[in-house]
Amino acid sequence: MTRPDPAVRRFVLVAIWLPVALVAVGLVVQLVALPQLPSTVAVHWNAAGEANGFASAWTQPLMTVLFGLGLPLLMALTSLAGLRRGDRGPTYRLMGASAAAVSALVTVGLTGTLVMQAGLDDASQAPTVWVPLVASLVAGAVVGVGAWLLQPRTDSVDAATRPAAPLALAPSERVLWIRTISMSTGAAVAIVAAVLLLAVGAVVAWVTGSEPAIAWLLTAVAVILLFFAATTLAFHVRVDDTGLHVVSVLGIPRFHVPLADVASAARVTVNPMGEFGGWGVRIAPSGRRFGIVLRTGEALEATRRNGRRFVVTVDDAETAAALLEALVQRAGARS
Amino acid sequence: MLVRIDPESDAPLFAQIAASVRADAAAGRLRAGDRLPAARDIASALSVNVHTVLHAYQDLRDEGLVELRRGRGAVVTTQAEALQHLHHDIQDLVARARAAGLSPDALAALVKEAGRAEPKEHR
Repeated sequence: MTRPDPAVRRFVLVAIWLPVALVAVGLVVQLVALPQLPSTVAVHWNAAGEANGFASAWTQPLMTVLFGLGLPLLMALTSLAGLRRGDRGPTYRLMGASAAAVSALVTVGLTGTLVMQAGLDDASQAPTVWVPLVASLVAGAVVGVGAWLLQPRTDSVDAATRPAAPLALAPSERVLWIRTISMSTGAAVAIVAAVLLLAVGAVVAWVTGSEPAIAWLLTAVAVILLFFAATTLAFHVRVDDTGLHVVSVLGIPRFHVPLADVASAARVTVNPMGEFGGWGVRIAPSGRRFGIVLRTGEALEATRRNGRRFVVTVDDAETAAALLEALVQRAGARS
Repeated sequence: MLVRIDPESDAPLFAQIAASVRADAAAGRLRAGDRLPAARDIASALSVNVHTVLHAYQDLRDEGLVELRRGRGAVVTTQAEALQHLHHDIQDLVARARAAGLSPDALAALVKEAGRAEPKEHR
């Protein structure tokens, strides 16, 4: 068996094994401290640094695993498939570094706030949060930068786009290309997992009686995410005399690139993670490329007159690009 | 799928739409089980009457390429696979006819004539 190349090995190291190790150490420290803690501990502090939210002591290790390990693993697993397939790019490196940083931030923060309450009779005497807060921010930053540097530099494969060969069109001909796209199973599973994780977080927040504002926030985010997941699962893509339309099967959201705004069209191959940092309705890190990216592979790319690019992953993009290119050229010849 | 009509052509619009769908199936752009877009969506995008599109869909149903189901719209049948199998032969035939100076229309007339001469054919 050949060893995977450094980009993949280092990514697995910083985004999976490092969080596992951090959370394991944090858990050991928390469990050792648990007998000396009051049964109810402070879990929330106000802006002045005074404790104002309380929960059972045992919820702290649970939260540490849920957020210190759960979030990084979710981030790692959504990226790993693309990396293993050969995708590269700074987005993956950033994702690996972020996973490590989140884990360090959560673990140090939760462990620090718990351990500083050891030996107290009552959680209301909990000291101010500043020391663990600053420690967790520093830990997150240091681990994040370290994880970034530990991974090799790679460039994303952004193939030069060549406009499609236009379809032969008669001057009076009316043409329509239409196709429906839906999200891949893997991506749909990742989205559903994220929604579930937030939903679990919201339920835990409600049940453990933490700050209502936090519970409401988690609930709201879960509902919004659910809405976005539902509206980005499938789209109708249409090319006709008026340009390129991409409309969710639910009716909204809808996107339109007017024909007069299209400079050229091409069939491209998209790596969602490497080029857009994920799936769904995305803006590429460069800011000049907008994508409705539901899967890896074939996509239609329309370059606007201002140089910005609009991408939608869709089968038979070759035909769509050829038609769009032909319509643009015909409109140009008429005016 | 790709639908193209030319109002200046002699062929009626519904026949042109049906021909487009047939060509889509032959080219593999439509497969068995695919659902055709709603007739009114095609009609509005091509600025034609919705009945023109429905007329095309009904002709395709009579031919056996699509099934019209209430609530499900027009669904492509396994006949699409048969068309796809013929795709290369047809392309080949057209290329050879063109090389021999024969127009696609003349070739189509010959194919039709050959079909009529074949006694086992029922259409």
